[in-house]
Amino acid sequence: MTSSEKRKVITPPRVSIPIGPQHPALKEPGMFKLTVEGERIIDAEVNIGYNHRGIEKLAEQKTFTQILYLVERICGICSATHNGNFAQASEFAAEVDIPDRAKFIRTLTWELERIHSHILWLGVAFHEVGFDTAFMYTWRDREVVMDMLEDLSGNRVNYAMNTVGGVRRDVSDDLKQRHLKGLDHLEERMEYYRDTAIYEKTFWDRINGVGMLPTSVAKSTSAVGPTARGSNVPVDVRFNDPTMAYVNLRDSGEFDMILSDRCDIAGRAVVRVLETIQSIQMCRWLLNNLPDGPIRERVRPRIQPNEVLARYEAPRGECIHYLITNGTDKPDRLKIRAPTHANWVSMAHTLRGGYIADAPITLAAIDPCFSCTDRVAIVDSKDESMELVTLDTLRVRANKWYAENPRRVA
Amino acid sequence: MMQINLLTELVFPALWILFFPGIFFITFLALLWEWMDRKVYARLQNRMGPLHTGWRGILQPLADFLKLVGKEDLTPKRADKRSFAAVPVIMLILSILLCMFLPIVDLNPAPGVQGILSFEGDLLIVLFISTLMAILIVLGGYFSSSPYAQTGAARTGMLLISFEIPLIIALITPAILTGSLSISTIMNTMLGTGGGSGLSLAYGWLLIIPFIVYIISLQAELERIPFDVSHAETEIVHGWQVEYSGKKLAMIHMAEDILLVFGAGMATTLFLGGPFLLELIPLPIFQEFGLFMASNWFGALYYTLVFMFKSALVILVLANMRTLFARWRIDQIVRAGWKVMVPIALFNMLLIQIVLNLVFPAIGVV
Repeated sequence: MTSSEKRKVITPPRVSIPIGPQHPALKEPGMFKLTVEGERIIDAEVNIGYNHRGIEKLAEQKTFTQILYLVERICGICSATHNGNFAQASEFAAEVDIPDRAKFIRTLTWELERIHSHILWLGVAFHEVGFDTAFMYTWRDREVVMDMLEDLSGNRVNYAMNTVGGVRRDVSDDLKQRHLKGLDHLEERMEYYRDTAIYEKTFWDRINGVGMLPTSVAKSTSAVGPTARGSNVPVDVRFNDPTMAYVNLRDSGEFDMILSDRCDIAGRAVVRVLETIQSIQMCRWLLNNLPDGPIRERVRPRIQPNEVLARYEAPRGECIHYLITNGTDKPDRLKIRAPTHANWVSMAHTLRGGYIADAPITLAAIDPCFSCTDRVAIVDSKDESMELVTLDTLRVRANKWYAENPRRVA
Repeated sequence: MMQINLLTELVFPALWILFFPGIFFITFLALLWEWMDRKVYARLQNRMGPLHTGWRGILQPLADFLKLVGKEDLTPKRADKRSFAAVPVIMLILSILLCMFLPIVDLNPAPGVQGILSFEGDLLIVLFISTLMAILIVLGGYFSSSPYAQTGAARTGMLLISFEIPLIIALITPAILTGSLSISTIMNTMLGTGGGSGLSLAYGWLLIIPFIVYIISLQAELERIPFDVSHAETEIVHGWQVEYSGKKLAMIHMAEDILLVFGAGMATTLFLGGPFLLELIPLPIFQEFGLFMASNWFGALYYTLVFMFKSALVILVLANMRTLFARWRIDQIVRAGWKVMVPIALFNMLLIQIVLNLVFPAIGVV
């Protein structure tokens, strides 16, 4: 035995693997630089900003009604989120109270959207771990809720349901019956997928104990939405700070915040699946208790100077619209904090120490929505031209613009 | 002076290798099995699958192949160019060579159907080549110098060391039962088709566990779900294949399809009775049917159809397995390979020795 020789520890060379900007696991452009040793991830770096569209800047030049349809285009999956939350913000600023029926219908759209968004997430999660059969099945049943949303709003993706002061379309008795029927079907299917996710061993093994996010870290990195609730952090605006018909839903006492103390991807998955079932029950409650009355209230196009913060629990977490009005029909400043933006830091934490094989599902576990996060880009409205510029040029231009135009908001 | 009969000694064997049970037929089967696999997989997922090219999209694999052949062929700058180009070619050649050992039809089936290539010990050659295929995959990944490909290659290596062993043990179980190392001889001895009485049906029970082990290991060998870690689409894009494009990718896909033919063919040959079906029923009329087929050119058609039918059943099982599971992580696969598959295979070897040496003499099975 060569006991005198010092024992050598051979580590595999460190390789840097880029996930993105184009990668099959990502449905939108984003860049995650993983430093790996063999299969293990040593470091993760999040690099976003590939989808910057300048919506906040654009919003300052449009009227409140126009902005409704602009913010809706922030994200295809949570279009009702931004649309409804901006309508809510404008109403808070105008200090009007909208009719109860409008509140219920707005909440119904939001909850239906949550159902479709969570089913979509479940399908993506199945796909990330190679379980394509369940992916196809979940997306097939997602069509049911997509059709319901089309029935309700006339559109499958950008619903355009809300307006400042209420909603644009009413719910008829026929539609209510059709929706109740659809909800029954969805509930049955979701219970099946809940069991599939939990009892299918190959899937459960991939999410069980993977991507740990301890409660303390989730709190210190300000995680929101199912990411936080999967780590046992009780943040849910629907119950903590309810608006619209969530007040009635909370007061009915039938619904409770769903939490999991598992702290891993399985916890986040279970929270999402159970939330979908809860959303279905909420939709049914809303339809059964729909009050009579008008669906909208006239609001003056010019909104008095005001500064408001509207919060709403989007499918991915808390979505904040911060609005400053100045007495004209255009806002002074609109700031949107989408839930994905709050989750990047915690996600980088969960990636470290895992396997490369777990990286896609860990990324997907926060249900990232890059469009929501990278909102800002380049549109020249003066000569109606579009041009491609590098990020550095963009930065120089931005600095120049802000130097020439000091901020108007104190 | 010996007269060379041109027709029987040159043209027939050439046609034999190039066309009918040879390269052309194997390629045809590869495309057909790929279509079937895709179609079954799609229908089980509530999708339609290939639909527009030919009858129910039956020509889609061919169309895909031709499309890939016509695509631009790119080689990464940092790749080892010659070796990079050699890997797909060698893969295709070796996979076709593997299929040559399958006994499908024979010009003279009276002494039992033989493969195009058949000699004592060819089972070992087949096992060797199938291991070589996996090493080629590792090489293909490393030659392309891409981090995704290298990760895929490393995973293939790990997949190999865990599932080659159960595969080999499962495949030599029939050899132990018959005492031969030639694939065709094993099949004919088991069934008694090349003269002799064949093994008693009691031996069939001994083949059940190896068959299951073989099917699972085959799924791993072909890198299909749940063992598709080495080209996991959502993790490492396409693993070791990521840098291959155009003709090279077409060749790799064709080689994979031909391996599917080989895998299903081996299951058919060693475990399911090869190209024989009706003559295995012990009734006089079926025995006469078997003799008729063995002495007639109708036999070629009949044996081919039976072989295809049995292979298709195996493909159905494989497609079903692909539908049912999520992808395992590589550490889970290695653990499953060493803690479950290898012990089962070894235990089965032990069981077979006990049954052959102690139980069968005791209960009087010949």
